[in-house]
Amino acid sequence: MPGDKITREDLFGDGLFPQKEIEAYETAVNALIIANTELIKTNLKIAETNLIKNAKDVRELNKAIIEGTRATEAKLKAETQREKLNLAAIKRDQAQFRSEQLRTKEIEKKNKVIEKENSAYQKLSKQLLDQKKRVKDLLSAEKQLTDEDKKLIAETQKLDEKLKKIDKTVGDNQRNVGNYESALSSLSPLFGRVSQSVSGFGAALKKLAKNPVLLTITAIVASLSGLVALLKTTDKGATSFAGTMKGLSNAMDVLRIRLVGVVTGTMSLKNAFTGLGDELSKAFQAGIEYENQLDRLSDAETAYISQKAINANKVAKLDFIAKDTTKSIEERINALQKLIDIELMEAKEEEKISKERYEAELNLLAATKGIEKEKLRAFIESSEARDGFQDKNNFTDEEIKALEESFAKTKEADTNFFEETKKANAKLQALRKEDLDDKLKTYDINRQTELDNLRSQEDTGKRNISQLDKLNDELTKKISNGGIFSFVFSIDDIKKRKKAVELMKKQAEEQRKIQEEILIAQAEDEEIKATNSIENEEERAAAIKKIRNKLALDIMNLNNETAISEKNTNKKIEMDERAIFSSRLKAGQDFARNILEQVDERRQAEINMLDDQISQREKNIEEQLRLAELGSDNELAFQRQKLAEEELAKKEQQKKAQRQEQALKLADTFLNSLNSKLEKDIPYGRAASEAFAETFAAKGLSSLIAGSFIEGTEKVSDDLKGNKAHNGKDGYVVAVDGDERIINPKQNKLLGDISNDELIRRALLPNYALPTGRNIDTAAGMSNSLMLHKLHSIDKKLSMLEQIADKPVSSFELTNLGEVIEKQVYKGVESRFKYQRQTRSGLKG
Amino acid sequence: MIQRRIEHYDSIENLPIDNWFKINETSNLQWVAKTDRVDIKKHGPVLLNAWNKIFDEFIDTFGIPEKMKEIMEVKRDIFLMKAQRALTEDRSFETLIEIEEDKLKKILYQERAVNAGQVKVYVEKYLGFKLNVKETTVKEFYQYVEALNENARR
Repeated sequence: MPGDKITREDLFGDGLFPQKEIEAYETAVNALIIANTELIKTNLKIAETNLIKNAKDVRELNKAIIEGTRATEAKLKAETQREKLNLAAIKRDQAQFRSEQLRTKEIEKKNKVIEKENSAYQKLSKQLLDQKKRVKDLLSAEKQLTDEDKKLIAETQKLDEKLKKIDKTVGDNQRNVGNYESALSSLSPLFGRVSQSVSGFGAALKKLAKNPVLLTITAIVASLSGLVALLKTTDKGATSFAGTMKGLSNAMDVLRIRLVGVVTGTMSLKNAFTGLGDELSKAFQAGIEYENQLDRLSDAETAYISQKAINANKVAKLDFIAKDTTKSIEERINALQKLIDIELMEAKEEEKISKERYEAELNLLAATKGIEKEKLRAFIESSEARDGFQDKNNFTDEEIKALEESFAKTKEADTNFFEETKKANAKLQALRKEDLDDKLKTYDINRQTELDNLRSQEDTGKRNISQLDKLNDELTKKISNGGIFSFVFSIDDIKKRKKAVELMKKQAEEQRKIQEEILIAQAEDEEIKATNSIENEEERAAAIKKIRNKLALDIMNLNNETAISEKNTNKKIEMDERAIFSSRLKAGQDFARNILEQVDERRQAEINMLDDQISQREKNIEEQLRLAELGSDNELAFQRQKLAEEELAKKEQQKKAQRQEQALKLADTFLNSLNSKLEKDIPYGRAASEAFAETFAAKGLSSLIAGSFIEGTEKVSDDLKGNKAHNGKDGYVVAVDGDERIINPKQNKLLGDISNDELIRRALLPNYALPTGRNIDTAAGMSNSLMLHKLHSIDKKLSMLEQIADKPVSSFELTNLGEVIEKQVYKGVESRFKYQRQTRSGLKG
Repeated sequence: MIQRRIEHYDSIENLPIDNWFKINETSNLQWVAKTDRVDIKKHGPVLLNAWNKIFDEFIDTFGIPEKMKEIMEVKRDIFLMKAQRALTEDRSFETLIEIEEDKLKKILYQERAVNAGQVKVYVEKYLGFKLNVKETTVKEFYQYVEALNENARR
C-alpha cells in the first residue's frame, strides 16, 4: 500500500527524527566526505605520476581512475546530502519560528476576545445593578405593580441569569488546565493585574500557579492584604507570598484537625481550643520557614544542575586526556585527579541538598503534627522495630501512618530529583561519549596529519636556519679573508705601503751615501799613505791618479748596485700590490655578486607572490562577473582596480630586476677586464684606464640605467630628469627592450606634440573625417558616403559580435517524452534547462 | 561450496582474435572462456585473472598500442578534472569534463570501427587469403599487422 510506505520525509520530518540521530547522520556524512577526499587525493597522485609504460602501469592507472571516479561521485553525493541536511535544519528553524508566530497570534486573538467579553460583562453588571436598585425601590414602595414594573422585574431576572451563565462559563475556563491566567484576567481588572504579576514570579510561585484554586485564593488575599505590590516583580516577594499562603494553609490544617476531633468526639471542645493560638502561630511560622527553605533549595538545586552540566564537559575533556596515550603520565594522572575531585564535589553537593530538604520536611512535619522534631528524626532514622518504637514513644497508629506517608513522600521527591539529575547527566555523558568515540576514531588520522605538519614545519625551519648559518659563515669568511671591507679600506694600506717604500728608499740612499763616504775616506787614506811613502813625484802622481780612478769606479759601481736594488724592490712592491689588489678585487666582486643574487632571489619571491595574487584576483574577478551577471551585489570594479595595481607592481619589479641585472653585468665586465689585465702584469694605472676605456660605455650605462629605464616616451630628456648622463652631442644613454621602436629626431619633430597613444590611435583607426568646405566634389562626396556606409555596416557587425559574445544564445530540442531542453551558450559555457510537460497547452519550467 | 573449474584461454597464443575483439568491444569476460555458457558471478575472478595474464602478455610482446595510450591519456585527463572538481568544488570543470568525455566517445567509436573491420580487411588483403578469425590467434594476427606496418613503412 503506497500510503504505508515509509518515506524519507517521515524519517527526517520535523520532530520525527531526534536531534541526536541527525547529528550522528551529519557526522557520518562528514566522515564520508573526508574519507573520499583522501581516496581522491591518493588516486590523483597515482594517476598523475603514472607513465603508462607497461601492462602493470595500465592496470594501475585503470584502477586509480575507477576508484578515484567512484570516490569523486561518492564525495559529491555526500556533499549533496550535507546540503540537504543544512536545508532541513533551516526548514526546521523556519517551521519553529512560524509556529511560535502562530501561537503568539492566537494568544493575542484570545486576549482580544476576553477583553471584549470583559467589557460587555461590566456593562451588563452595571445594568443589572441599576435595575436591581430600581426593583428594590419598587418593591419597597408597596404599591400595585404596573405591567412596566413587572417587565422590569422579569428583565432583571433574565439579566441576572445571563450574568450567572457567563460566570459559569468563566468557572469552566478556570478548570481549563493551562489557561488560568486568561481565565482570571477575564474575571475582573483586579484579577487581571494579579495574573499579570504572576509572569514575573520566581520558581516558588510557578508551582503555586499550577493550582488554579490556590491561585484564586491567593489573588483575593493578596488584593486584601496589599501584597500585590510586593508580589509584582521579585522572586523574594513571590517566596514570602507563597510562605504566607503555606502558613495560612498550615494554620487551617491545625484548625481542621481540631474541629474534626471535636466533631468526631475524639477531642473535647475545651481541649480543642486550649493552646490553639500558640499552635496556630507555630504552624503559620513553620509554613513560612518551609517555603523559604524550599526556595533556597530550589536555587541550590538549579545551581547544582547547571554546575553538573558544566562539569559533564569538564569530566569528558579530562577523561579524554586521561585516555590519551600521547600525553605524559604526569598529565594523565593530573587529569584523573581533577576528574575525581569534580565527582567528589558533586557527591558532597548532593548530600548537602538532600540533608537540607530532609530538615525542611522534618520542621514542617513537626509543626503541623504537633510532634517534636527530634522525636520525628529518631523515628525516621531508628533501626528498631516499628512496634516497639511506637510503644516507646507513645505514637498513635494514625500518627505513625501519617509519618510514614510523609516520610515516603519526602523520600520519593528526593529520589525523583536525584534520579532525574542522574538520567540527565547520563544522557549528557552518553552524548559526550559518542563525541569522544568519534574523536578517538579520527584521532589517529588527525594526530598523524598534525605530526606531519609539525615535522614539515620543523624541516623548513631547520633548512632556513642552516641556509642562514651557511650564508653567515660565508660572509664572515669573506670579511675575515679581506672581503669587501678590506677592499674598501685598502687605500690606507696602499698609503702605508707607499710610506714604507719611501722609507726603504731613503734608508738605501743613506746606506749608499755612507758607503760612498767610506770609499772616499779609504781613497783619501790611501792618497796620504802614497804621498808619504812615495818620494818620486811622478810615481806619486801616478799612484794618486790610480787611487782616484779606483774611487770613481767604486762609486759608479755602488750607484749602479743601488739603482738595480731599488729597481728590483720597486718591481717586487708593484707585483705584491697588484696581487693583493687582484685578490681583493675578486673577493669584492664575489661579495657583490652574492648580495645581488640574494636581492634577486627576494625580488623573484616578490614577483612570485604577485603572480599568486594576480591569479587569485583573476579568480575573484570571474566570481564577481558571475555575480554581476546574476544582478547581485558585486565588487567587480574594486577587484579590477586591484588587479591593475598588482600587475603594475609586478611590472615595476620586473623592470627593477632587469635594470639590476644589466648593471651587474656591466660592472662585472669592467671588473673582469681589469682583473685579467692585472694578471697579465700590466701596471694597475694602465690596466684600469684600459678596462675603463673598453667598458666605458658599459660603465656609463650601468650608472645611468640604475635610475633611468624608460619604456616608450615622447621626449627622452623629460623622462630622464635628474639622471642625465650626456654622451657626446646631445645624446642620452638609455636602455631599450628588443621589441621597442625608435624614431629619429627629424621624424619626431614632424610629429610635434602628439602623444604615443594618439599616434597609435591615428595609425590604427580609419579616418572618418569628411572634407569640409563648400566646394565638395560630387565624386569625392559619393565615395565618402560609400565609405561611411561601409563603416557603419562594419560597426553594426562589430556590435552584433559583441552582443553575441555578451548575451546568451539559446537553442531548443524536443525529446520523445515531450520535454523541451533549452541549451544556452554564454561566454563559451553551455547550460541546459529542462522544461517538463505540465498541461496540453503549457510547459512547466 | 566447491566451484566447478572452467575451461578458458590463458595466452595470446591460444586466444582467437575474434574473442579478443569481442572482449575489447564489450568488456565481457565470457569470451575468455572456452565454453558457451558462463556464470560470470561464479567464474568472474578466474576469468579476470586469465584476461589480465593475456593482456600482460600482449603488451609485453607488442607494446602498448598508440590508440590505447591515447585512450588512457584522455581517461586520465577526465579523472584529473573530476578530482579537481570534487576537491575544489569549482563547477567550471564540468564543461571541460563533458568536452573530454565527448572526445573519448569519438575515439572509442573510431577504435571499434577500425579494430573490428578494417584491420582484418587490410590484413587479409596483405596476406592474400581470408582469415579464419575463430582459429587465428591474437599473436598470429598482430604479427601479420606488424608485418603489414613494416611493409607500409618501406
